[in-house]
Amino acid sequence: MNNIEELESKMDQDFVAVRYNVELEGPAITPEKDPDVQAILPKEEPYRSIAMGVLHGDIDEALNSVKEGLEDGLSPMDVINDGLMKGMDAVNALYTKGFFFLPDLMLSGDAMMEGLKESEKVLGHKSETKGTVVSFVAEGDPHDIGKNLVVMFLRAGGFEAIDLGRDVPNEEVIDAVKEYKPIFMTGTALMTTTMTAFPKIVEEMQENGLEVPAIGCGGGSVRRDFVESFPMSVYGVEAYHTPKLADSIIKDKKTWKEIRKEYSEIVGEFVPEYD
Amino acid sequence: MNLKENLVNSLSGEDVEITPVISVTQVGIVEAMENTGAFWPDAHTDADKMAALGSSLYELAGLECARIPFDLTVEADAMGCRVDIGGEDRTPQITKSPFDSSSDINVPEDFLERGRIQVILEAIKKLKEKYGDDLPIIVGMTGPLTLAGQLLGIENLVRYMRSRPNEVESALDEVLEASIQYANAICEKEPDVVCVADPTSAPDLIDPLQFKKMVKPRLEDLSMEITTSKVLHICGSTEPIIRDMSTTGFDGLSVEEKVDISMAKEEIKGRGKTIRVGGRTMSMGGGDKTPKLVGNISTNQTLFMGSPQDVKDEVKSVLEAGVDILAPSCGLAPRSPLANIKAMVEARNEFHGI
Repeated sequence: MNNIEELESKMDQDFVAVRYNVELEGPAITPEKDPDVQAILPKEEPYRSIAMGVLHGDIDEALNSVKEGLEDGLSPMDVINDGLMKGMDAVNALYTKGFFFLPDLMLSGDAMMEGLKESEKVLGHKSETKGTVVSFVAEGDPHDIGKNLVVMFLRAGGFEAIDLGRDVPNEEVIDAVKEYKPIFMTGTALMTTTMTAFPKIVEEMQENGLEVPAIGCGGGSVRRDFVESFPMSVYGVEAYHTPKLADSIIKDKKTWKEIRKEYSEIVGEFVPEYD
Repeated sequence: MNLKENLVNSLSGEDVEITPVISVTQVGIVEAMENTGAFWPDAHTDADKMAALGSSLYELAGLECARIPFDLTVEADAMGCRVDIGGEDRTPQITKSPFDSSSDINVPEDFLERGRIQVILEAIKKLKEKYGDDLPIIVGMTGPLTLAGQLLGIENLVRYMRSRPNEVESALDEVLEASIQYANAICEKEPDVVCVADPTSAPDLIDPLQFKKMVKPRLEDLSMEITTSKVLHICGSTEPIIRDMSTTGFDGLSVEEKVDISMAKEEIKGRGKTIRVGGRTMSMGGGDKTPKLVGNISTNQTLFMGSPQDVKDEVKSVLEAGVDILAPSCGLAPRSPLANIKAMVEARNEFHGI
């Protein structure tokens, strides 16, 4: 029998039967082939492998590359900023474009957090934080996927994120403001029934003479109109926008009023909700 | 034509003169609880109170259905999850699941006797006794992926969708068995509509391709078991999956306000005709039995926070966009004002000149 190589040259490649779904959907596209991702991914090793591990949502791949890099004497800060974070930026780019979904975001987040922990071990301490942010899920609401993502992105972005958990009583939020004096706060709610906690918290803060530069509110049923119906608040659209909003407060001293006006600019992308 | 015929005919694709105004999602609001004396959490566990609150918006606001229960934890509860029954304006929530992996999940022998299942079946009976053939009775149940998420933990489920899809597949097989048992038991009591709510299937949580591959076949199997009229409700931005939703065998698709009704109509046009091949439902395309669109008056922006005028404006635009059955976009927030439900019915009447 002829071997495959011989046969292949005789075959008319245009008439090879293609499985119908391959024909319909085209060849599988790997995430790293996406032009936006290519622009974000570092070219240099081992940063590229680290970023790719995060992009693939593969804890082992990411962690091994991080360990190798650290053993070779790379600075942990470079590993975080030029490797892990670039990988996460690429993931966000694909998520925004609708190629990645929540499961991808969560697995990549896991890979990044593992890499971050490993780097911090070498650093000997938690990496220098830019500021403290308090995150909570509204009272009565047990849904915390959104808040967990927010906390993950904040930590990855170099902030100290105080995670108050889910179904957090309003008084506990107020106490946390007193204790940590955060530069930013995030509140999330999935349910229409629980999002009413946000204006109550703001009211109580005002009664106690407390203030934060901004409270980012978001989640399932929360809409911009609702959030902007009370002061001190900003409607947060995507979890990965959080560190950018916090950055704008630290670096450019933005207030909640300014963030409401300049949201798209601050997060650096077109945001339909703010159009 | 009475209200029941009007809704059932509308769902089965017959021309009706007046667009039904109903809710396929939860209808318990505090104002109605005060009026009927049927408060949460009692109305979750007491069949009389469940029937009273379930029909309260018909009695008080003219909404054209009775709808029970008021939460999505009935099946998970009967499967063995711990449930916090909530309060006057707080829906029941699952606090703990006894299952670590799909292999732990087994439908208990006495599944239909456990938790609150018998309460719901009893409440259907009571509603039928009271309203007979005049008022449609809608019963909600939990979709398979949502139930699987409740049993495995939603965060685990979302991760497993990519990292361990087989785990999700086998969990789905188990929960489907439970769902089918429950659906059969509900249908024996002969309500008019069963609404399967599967919010976890929303593209906000899982990849639409995985909806097609993993969830859709189970929804097809489940819809085959439902002998009443049937509606599928999925929250969120369901545009990417609405074509797949439309060929699962459901008569109606209930969508949130994030979905543009006229676009969705175009998207699902003529896709309702299906055949069963090799154990799967396949779309024939071009058929005339396209599922009806149910929705999608915003439950938070409008019905909860808006004024009656806001409700009227939105009803008008949704009816003009061609919604087949007018309904809230999701479960009503318990603090929604009764006046807004009345406004929804009134606006429908004004639209039809009645």
